[in-house]
Amino acid sequence: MEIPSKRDFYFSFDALRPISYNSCAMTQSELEEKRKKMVYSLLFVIIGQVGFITLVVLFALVWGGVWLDNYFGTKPVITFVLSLAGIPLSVFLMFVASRRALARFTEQYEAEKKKISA
Amino acid sequence: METQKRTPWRRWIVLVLMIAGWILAGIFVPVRPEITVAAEKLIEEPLIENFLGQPFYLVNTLPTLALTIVLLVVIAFVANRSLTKSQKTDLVPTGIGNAMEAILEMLYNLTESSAGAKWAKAIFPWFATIMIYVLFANLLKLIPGFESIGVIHHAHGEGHAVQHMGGVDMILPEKGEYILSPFFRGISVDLNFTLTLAVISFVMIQVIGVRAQGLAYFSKFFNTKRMFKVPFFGAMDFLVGLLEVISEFAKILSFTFRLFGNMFAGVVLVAVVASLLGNVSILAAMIMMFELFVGLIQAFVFGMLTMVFMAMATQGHGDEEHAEH
Repeated sequence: MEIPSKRDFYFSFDALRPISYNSCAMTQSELEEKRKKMVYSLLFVIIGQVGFITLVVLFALVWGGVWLDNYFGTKPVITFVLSLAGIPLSVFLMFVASRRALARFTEQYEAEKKKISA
Repeated sequence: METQKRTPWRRWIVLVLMIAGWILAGIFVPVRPEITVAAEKLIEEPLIENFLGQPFYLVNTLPTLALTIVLLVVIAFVANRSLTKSQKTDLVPTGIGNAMEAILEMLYNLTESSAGAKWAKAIFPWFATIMIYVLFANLLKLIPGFESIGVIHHAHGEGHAVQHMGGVDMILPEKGEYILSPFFRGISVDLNFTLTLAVISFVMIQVIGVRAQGLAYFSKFFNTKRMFKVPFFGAMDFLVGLLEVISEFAKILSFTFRLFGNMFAGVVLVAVVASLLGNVSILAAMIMMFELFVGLIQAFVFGMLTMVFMAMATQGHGDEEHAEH
């Protein structure tokens, strides 16, 4: 029996656990079913990453701003400037994270399609 | 079978962070912010005097306004660069350029189908600008930090207690004498923003109407065509015209309060639900998700209504009669 590689596991949104599948027996409808699951998984990853990236970036900048304000005695100018800078930065990182997740999804989906045509 | 290295630990990090978020939300219970209809002053002294001699304050929607405009300009610049590059190389634009091309193409087709090919070019810039601007304004206020980071000062009325934690002062749910004035507030939660857009939209509807029909456009409001031929119906037409004037001005009110009301309701709803439910803050997060949807819909509605009213202004009564013959 062939041992599946790590690539043959993917994250399912429904069960929150990896499930395995046999690539040889896959049909078009199964691919569509898997595509749907992969889309859910993608949304889950994007929401998770985006939610935390924005939070971490803003928290770090605000905390840094408060510390610098206390250090230089300029309360609340630096906090304000850094949190102002944090918003476009988090939007940019949100964009990058979404693009990466989408690229990973496309790559996985293309691999599935190749398996069907093979 | 080919074995490739992947990083399955990432998903576990996301899961751990989600659980940590849940636990932290239970420890740091959301506090109901002070809900004010008007934007709050960041500095008590006015920045300058405006042209009417009135004081002009730095309110917390102004930084957001500047930020929205800067973001839009940057996106426009990047999209323009991508499109110019694609024109030179004869390839499909990539990245933001590709996304903006798809969005604008969809909006242009929508305008063309509603207003016709002749007036689509005149109407489209107003429709697309208003829609994209309002969309950015609505979505930007969902970023963490809005309405939650700011300056703590003494409350005039009811306030909250403050605790110094990890170098940062935090507002607690317990009663006290402090309130938070946030640095950033969504611009669509300021009546000045929605009113300005409504006035721009209203004026441009009239301008496009006059461009399309000339002075005959105003015959819709002051209809005296049949006044002397059929006096009774002529008088009725004139009265209906006056009603049209009222309904035209009512557009400013409906544009203004529709967007402001929806966005302000969202802010109040999130604040109230989060503070009422306390530890179960996941429900407030779900309302934030709903806000994403509301922000998108309201931007579309504002832009779409502007476009439809502009399209209607280009069509006079005379056109319909000619079409029938």
